[in-house]
Amino acid sequence: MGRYSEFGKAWWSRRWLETLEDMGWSSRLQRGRSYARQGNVLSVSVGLGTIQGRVQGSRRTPYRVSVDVKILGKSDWDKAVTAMASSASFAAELLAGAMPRNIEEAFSQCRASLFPSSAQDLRMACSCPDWAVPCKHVAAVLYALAVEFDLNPFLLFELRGRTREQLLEELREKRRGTSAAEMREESAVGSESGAQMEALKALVLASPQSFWTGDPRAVAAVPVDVARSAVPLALIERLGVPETWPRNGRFADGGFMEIMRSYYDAAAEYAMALAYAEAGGGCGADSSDVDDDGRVDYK
Amino acid sequence: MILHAAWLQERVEIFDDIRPADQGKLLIWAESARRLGYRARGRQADTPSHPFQASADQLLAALAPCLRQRPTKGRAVMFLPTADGYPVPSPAIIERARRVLAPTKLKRWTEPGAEVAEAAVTGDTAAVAGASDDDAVAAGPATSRGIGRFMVSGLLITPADAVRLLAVLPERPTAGWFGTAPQADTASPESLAAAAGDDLLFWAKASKLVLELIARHRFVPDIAMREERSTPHIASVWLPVLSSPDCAVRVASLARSMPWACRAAAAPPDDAGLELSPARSVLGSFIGAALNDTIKDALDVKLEDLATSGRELNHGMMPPFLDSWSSLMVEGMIFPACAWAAGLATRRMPFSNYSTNIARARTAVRSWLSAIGPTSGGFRTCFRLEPPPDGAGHWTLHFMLQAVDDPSVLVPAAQVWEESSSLLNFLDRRFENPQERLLTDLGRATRLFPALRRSLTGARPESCSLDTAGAYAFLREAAPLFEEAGLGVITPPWWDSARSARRRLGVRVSIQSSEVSRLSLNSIVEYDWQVALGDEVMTHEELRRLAELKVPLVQMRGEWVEINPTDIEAAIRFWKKRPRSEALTVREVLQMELAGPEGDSGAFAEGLPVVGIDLDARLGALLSQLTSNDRDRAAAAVRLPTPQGFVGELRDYQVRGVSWLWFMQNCGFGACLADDMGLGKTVQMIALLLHAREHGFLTAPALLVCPTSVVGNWQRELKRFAPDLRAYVHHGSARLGGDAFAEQAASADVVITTYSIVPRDVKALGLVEWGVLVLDEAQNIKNPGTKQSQSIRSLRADFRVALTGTPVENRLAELWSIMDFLNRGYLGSAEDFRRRYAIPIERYHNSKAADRLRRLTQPFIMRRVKTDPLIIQDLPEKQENKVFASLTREQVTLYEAVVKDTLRAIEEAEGIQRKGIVLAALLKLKQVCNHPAQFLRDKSSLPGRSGKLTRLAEMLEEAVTQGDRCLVFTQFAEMGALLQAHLAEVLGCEVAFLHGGVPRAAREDMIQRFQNGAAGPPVFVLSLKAGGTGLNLTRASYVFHFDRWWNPAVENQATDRAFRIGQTKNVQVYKFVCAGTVEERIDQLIEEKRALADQIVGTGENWLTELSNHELRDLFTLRNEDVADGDEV
Repeated sequence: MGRYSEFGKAWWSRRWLETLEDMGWSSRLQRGRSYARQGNVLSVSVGLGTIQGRVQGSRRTPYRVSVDVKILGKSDWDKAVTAMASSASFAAELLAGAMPRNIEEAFSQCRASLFPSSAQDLRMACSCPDWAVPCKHVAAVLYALAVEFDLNPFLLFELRGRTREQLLEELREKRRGTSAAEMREESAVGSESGAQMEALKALVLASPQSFWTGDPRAVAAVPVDVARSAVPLALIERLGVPETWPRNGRFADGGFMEIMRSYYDAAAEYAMALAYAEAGGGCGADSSDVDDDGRVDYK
Repeated sequence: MILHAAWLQERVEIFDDIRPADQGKLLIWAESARRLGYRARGRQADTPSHPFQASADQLLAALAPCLRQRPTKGRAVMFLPTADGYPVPSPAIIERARRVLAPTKLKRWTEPGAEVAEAAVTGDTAAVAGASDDDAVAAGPATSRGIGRFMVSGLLITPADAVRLLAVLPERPTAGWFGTAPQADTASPESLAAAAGDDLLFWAKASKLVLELIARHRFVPDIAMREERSTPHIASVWLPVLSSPDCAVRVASLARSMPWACRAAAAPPDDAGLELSPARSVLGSFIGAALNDTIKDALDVKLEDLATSGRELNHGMMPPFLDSWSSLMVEGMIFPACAWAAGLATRRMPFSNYSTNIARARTAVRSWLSAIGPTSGGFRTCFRLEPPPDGAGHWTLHFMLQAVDDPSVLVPAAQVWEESSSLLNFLDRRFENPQERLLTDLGRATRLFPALRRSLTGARPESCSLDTAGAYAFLREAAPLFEEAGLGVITPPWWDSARSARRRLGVRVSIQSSEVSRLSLNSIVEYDWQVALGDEVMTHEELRRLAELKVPLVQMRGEWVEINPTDIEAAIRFWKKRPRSEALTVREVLQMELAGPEGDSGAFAEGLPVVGIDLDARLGALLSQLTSNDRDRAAAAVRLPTPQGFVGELRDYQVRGVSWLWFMQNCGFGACLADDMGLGKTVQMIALLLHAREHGFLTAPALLVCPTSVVGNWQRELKRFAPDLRAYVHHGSARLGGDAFAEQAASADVVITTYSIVPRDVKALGLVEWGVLVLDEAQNIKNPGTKQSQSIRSLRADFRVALTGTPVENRLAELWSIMDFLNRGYLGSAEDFRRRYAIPIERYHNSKAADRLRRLTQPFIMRRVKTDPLIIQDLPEKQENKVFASLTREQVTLYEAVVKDTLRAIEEAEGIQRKGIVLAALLKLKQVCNHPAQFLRDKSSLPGRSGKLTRLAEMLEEAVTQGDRCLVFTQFAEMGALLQAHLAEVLGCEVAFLHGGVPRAAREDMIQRFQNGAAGPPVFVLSLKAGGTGLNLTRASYVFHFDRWWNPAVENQATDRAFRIGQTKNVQVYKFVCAGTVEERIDQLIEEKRALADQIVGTGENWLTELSNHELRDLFTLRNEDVADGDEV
């Protein structure tokens, strides 16, 4: 999984780590953190109320780590979701990829918390011989998890018992006050290829010529203006540096933008050169020597 | 052959939830005209070969020079429409086949019945069988339509090669674009080799769009599954972003107009289950593949160049790009993101080798990309800002959903919240998960514009209210960010116009021309300026008060206007400097006024735009007269009386033309008279010269440059209409040089010379400061780089006129050359013009550039067309003209030899024998005048050897470009055959030929197609005997008599083929005469003795034999002043 200089850039990921540190495991977590930083966490995955991970330890076979997180009850979820549905900002921010800052307000409705509130909420196990709980392998996994949270805040809900889809579905139901069972979705219309074949048949009957021509006037009327962008790299500037971009090494500071700029400039320059290339027709043999079938007559 | 192109999409399997990359090849193949009608012999495979396709080798010959890599030959299975099981040929190949196949072979596709026949679909193969409909079979004619599968062979082109090949095509490539070398100055014989079908042109348009996306940075890096040699791997790829409305609309419109021929194909391994994808996804696949492939090419090329040559240039050091890329590779061993970034620059490196956790990398990239919203199609959230209804109070930002490919489809948020299912139907459109879309976009929008957050506290937010400062912040800062992020924004209409130059704070310039005595483009005028907001002039005090207000949006006269703080600062700075009169020329004023805000008037001072120009009365009148259209010009320009020395009548529109030329001469502007052929450009020019002389404006002689083929014509027209003007022809091998020439020229009013003489005699011609410099058939200088154009440009003259009958405004290279000849520098340098106008218009169909160019050039061009009702009423129904052509050197030699032999022979002959000799001589001389090849019967090549033929081709080209149809009569069947072949090649269109040997049915077909066919032959050659009587050919608006029948009655009868009941157009008749030859002499005889013509001429040419030896000598002998220079024409 590579190495990371820092775990958890987003506020919710940092909050996750702070919560763990507040549980009094600071020193163990420290060891786990450097372990993770060295790249020993081979994989980490999240399921409903559970975390699974593989960590390379001193033995050849990686250790298996599993952490079970306490799942919230149905009525708790119901209250939390009702609270979230009452303000569009919750769903809006989540869907846009960020955990709403006031998320705990929604959970305070059910006197529960999205983040684990005590050590009792977590049950940790590791296949290593170490007697301590959490061992440094568990800690490493918990740290590595913070990076996953950055990318996908919905994982926090999953740990508490709701997948992304479940949560969104429940939010949708709350918004309109109906349940999924009452809904019926239209099924897709036949096979796509079949529909196309029908369209082709109809066309062949009506006007076989247009098989060849389409609507040439409409095609010609589509304007194209090959010109350099007024705002260079607008999209890349908008996207910013990817979360997973290294924060140390040669390309740490501004390296991503620098590389992208060189790519985009080279690509645009190439496109402009092609677009305005001299091409006064003709690319080969003299016309007078070529007959209708393109046979070149070398007399 | 007609080139076709079909996109063969390569389907990549989805692995681990990673998006399959767009991949594929373009199959270029061709229909062959000669093979049309072939049937394959022997047993056919399940999927038969396409029966009339060109071979891959023929394609290679045509295309290989345009491609970087030698393309591989390949095959594909195509679904094609069939009639009776045979593929329906494309309309383009039928047109092409008319030139190489007999009409009977084509009958099956060209008969009117074939096009409208309605029949059952009886599929050739099981794939489509089952659709046969008994009723239709019973009712319909013999033809049955269906769809068949055919194996098509051609060349497989990589997407990047396709872009390189196709993006440089003009909108409508002329014949000969493919497989031919560019021809320099000569009118090249257009090749019949290969032409593009509409499906190929479709991909050309798509390729151009791909280049635009790349140049405008409308793409992002991504990660996707690719398949190379059937091995799937995960790769770094580039993904086009088509979600901006202008892009989405264009893509949707292209997809709707895509010919089926573009997509009804699949590569053979897939053919078992040939699947047809919707046009949209096929287009998307091509754009995706072509964009990625082209960018990879760009970066790969760069890496390659750098690796090979970079080191040496950099003294052994690695150049920066390569250096950083290599480091990126190294870092990629540790950081997957670096490996991903390194992979973006090359197509050689599969990303999967470097990364251990693919799923994670995919999630990372996907979540990163989510910030720009969906990259193609679908719908998005749109924000519409409304000002406070009463001018004060709060602004409202409405939320709605918008269809990306049709921005006018808007669903208000209220309706989105009411929808209880996950599918919203609105105006026939499906919006899937509309609420989530709205919420997601609101979440993203909030990050860009935090003021939105307040409005999201409710469960179903519909809008957000803003104060004026907030509204301005939205318009100024958030709106552009929203658009970049793929969100829709609808601003009040005044906002967009406020941002255009004329509604902003800027400078009004007022211009004074009173100091200048005679205005020309280079005259320097004085100007004054004021700071203004739109039309309102602002004082310094007002400006200061505005600056203190610090309100960015103010209401003026009930309209909101943006006051940009930086503009205010610039205006105050500008005020302090008080710049005074730097030079401004009339040309600059014109360009500012004509090109409009997007033109050159941009930054005038301190970055302030010019928001208005006030002209004084004189300049204003000048400009309005310049820019008015023909009708207004007629009213505005002083109508000149017909010059005293002019023999004849000027028609009304001709008077207008002369008056306009006179006006332009007085202004010192070069002028282009581009009337349709037959409207009398020559006469107008002669009248102008007379008028100028009578008003003392022609103190120096005029120089007229024309093609050799019309020298004789000018000479005769001058003599006829202006016998007072002294004309001198500077041409031929005995022409004067140096001072002798200058002396001779000084004593003439008009010096006539030719395009080929000017570069040779540029020194002598440069000795004279010409009063007027006229270019006839000015399209001859279309190639600005040639010595000919350059030497003509170098001549000094007071007033320059270009005459041309071709619509110059549609031929941009010509237009620039002519405009630059007329008004040096007006359209900028040739290279500048190419970039700003020629390529955007011709290659990319840029209507803004076209409009700007039209505005700029329109004042200098007067063009009237025959079909203009104002002109028609002025024209007689039938107009007869003579065309005097010069002989070439070769023709002269042959002609003189015949005359010498004849004169010697008649001295010794008598009676019936003498009669025979005279008639034979007459025949031979006519043949020589027509063409040496006709006389010699040697099947030698035709171009450049006959003055008549050259002139005929020029005139036909003009007529055909205008969309007219023409009859060409000749009394010699063998000449007719030569004409047909030569004209078809030179004009690049179908030419029909009717002679005595054409069977009745074919003859009917020809006439029918000429008269009624939409794609009938524009030129119809007829032998006088076969076509002189009985036919009805009223579709023609031009009649050419290539040679003369010395009986006017016979000629008139032929002419009347076009001039019969049913003719609604004016008909122009041109009779060709070789100047100085027996043809001209007999023509004179007939003209002089018109009244006696019938008696003298009788029914044939026998009267000629009655002439005395002396008279015959006079009749036959060549008058040498009309002899051409030989090696040209």
